[in-house]
Amino acid sequence: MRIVIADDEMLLRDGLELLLTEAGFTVVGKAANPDQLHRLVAELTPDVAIIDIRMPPTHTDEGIVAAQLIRDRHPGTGVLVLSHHLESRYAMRLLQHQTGGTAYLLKDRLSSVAVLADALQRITEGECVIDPTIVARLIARSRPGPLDALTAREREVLALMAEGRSNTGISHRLHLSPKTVEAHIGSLLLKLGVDGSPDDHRRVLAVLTFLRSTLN
Amino acid sequence: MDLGRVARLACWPLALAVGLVDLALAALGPTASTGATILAVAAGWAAAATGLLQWARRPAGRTGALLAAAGMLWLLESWNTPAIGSPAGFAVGLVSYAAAPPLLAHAVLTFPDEPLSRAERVGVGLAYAASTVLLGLLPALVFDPEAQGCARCPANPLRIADLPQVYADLNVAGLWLGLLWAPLLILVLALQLARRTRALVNVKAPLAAAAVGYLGLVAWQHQRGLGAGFLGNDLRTGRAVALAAVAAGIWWTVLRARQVRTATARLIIELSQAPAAGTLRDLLAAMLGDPTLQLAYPRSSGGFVDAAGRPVAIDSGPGTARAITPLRAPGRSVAVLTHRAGLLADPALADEIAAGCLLVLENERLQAELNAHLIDLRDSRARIAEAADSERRRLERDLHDVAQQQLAALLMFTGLARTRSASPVLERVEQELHQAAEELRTLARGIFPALLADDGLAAAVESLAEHAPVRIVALPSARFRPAVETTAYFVIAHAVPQHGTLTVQAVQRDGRLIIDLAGAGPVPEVPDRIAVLDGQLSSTGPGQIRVELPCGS
Repeated sequence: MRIVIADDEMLLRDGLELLLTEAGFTVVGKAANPDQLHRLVAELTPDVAIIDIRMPPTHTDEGIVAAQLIRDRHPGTGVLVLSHHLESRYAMRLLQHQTGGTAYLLKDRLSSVAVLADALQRITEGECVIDPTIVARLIARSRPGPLDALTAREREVLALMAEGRSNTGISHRLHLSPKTVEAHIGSLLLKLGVDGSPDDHRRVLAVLTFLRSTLN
Repeated sequence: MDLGRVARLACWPLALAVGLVDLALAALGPTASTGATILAVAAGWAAAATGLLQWARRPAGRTGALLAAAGMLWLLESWNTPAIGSPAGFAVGLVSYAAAPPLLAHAVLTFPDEPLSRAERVGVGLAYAASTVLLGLLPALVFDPEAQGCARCPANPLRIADLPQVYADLNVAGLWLGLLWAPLLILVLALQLARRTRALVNVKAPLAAAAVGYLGLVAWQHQRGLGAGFLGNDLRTGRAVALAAVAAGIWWTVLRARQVRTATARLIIELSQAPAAGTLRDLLAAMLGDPTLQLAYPRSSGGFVDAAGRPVAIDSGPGTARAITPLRAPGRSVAVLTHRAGLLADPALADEIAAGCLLVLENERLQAELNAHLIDLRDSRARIAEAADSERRRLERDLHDVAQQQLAALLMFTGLARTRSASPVLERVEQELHQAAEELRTLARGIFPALLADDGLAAAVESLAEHAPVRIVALPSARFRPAVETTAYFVIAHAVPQHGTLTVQAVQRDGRLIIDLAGAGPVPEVPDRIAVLDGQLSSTGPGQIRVELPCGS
């Protein structure tokens, strides 16, 4: 898998390159600011761009803006935004106009190559991945909305979907048979009203519905 | 009792007496009609009385004394007659019979309180010399009434020689000079008036016109005197009318000042009824008919402020068509009026206003100074609060850019090390690093939530609700200026209670952001922040807080 890294901190750029190379990924380019990033993506069309949320010039949300632009211009390139912010709103902003191939992870995740590799894999498969800590927080918060109709088990499944886990991953995690997981997913998609969409997009839409329900 | 007052008091009976002598002389002599004599004496008395009153009204100015003297000398003109009988009286008449016109011109030129220019002094000096020396004193020294065939004349006590030719030459020279200085003084008066502002011209024009008429008649009188060889009593009725007109001109200016004073008095009554800041300016603007009029008060720290304490730029000078008039209390300037040029050129007007409104002016000046201090204080408090806010943001950025980034790098390298060699120590290190990253994140968002600057109040409070027991009923989605958003956010964040849930309902209404909190904990830091923004904090019950912040429309 060919990857471009964008972070204004050199230590993180180089460390991430080392980590990814060790895990079997190919880092084809590194950028220190959004302009360099866009040039590299246009030149190299990588599979995924890993982007720091805060970059020059204002060090606020340049990373999210850059990620959205890349998804619009280069549908073949997925984006992984790394952030220190434990705020679902940033994840929501990143995901709201897209149908997949996007991830929002806390930088803490960099300690686990496995989590990172899993997320990159999900991204190339066109899914959205939201940091488990954020998902856990959103699940814990009770707010009236479409999630009220879901059973406790269906919510667990939805949360794991939002973390970007596959059906197999979910069944392992919850010690359920793959068939049972599929049944839960079918039921919750029905309850959330996204069962009519094409197969690829259902999961993404379910996650978006989940995010929106916690935000509005 | 000062000397001026003594002199004034002495002049009243003196002028009366001289006038009565004139009337008596007229009764004895055959020269003029009774009506003309009464008119001449009345004009002299009017000039003398007007001069004395003006002198009392403005002791610093010389107009009053000069006009009083002119009136007296006008009355003394009639003593230059054989009928006077007394040698002393005759001598006075001989010396002074031509001295009234220069005094009168001098009086009008110095009105109201003006120093004479060099050219004006030359003109006036020439007139004095010609009238009192060439026509008055010098001929008197060489005039022997008996030798000149005046059998009825009293003896001339000033006579030192009898030189008829010198006497005639002196008279002719004085008369020719009169034809020079009288038109010259008319010209000087006209020039003086032309250089004055319109407002002063309005006040002084009738007075100057009367003086010009009088001087014109004097010039004519001199011209006719050339034929006779001496300055006769010609045109006395005309000159009397002109003299009375000069006195009337002075009264006209007094009347104008009285009008201002009446208006000022009305002003004070209105002010006592409605003493709001800025009222005085509005009333003065209405009274003087200049809507652009500004009333500014000097600050003890320099500069000027209006009644509300806001800074005012005082601009005037060439090209601005505006003028500045200070309103003075004894020894200092209480306030400054800026207005259309020429509106207050008569210093008496400004003095009347200052005197009439002094108490109100002083009161408003103190209030303005106080208001200006309050504005300074509020501005400085707002600056301090803003500096504190930006310091919070800077701190949060520094934490993020340095500490959080390095911690993330550490986590990454620890993870890398663990993939190479699993060890319980490394596992423990990673756990601790995760813990540190979590705590640092909480610390950073507590100092200043990045979302507040990026996405505004609603986003930041919604995010707060993900981390803390906060229930949101309503939040305005609009963005406000940073000081309002920061204050509103920290009011809510600080009100989150130790136990229980904080309910937040915030709406934007009539240019105010109204935040209702229920279940709030104590919020010690909040009242100051709200006061900085001119906001209000009220409590409607235990744990119930309402905060209102002005936030524009």
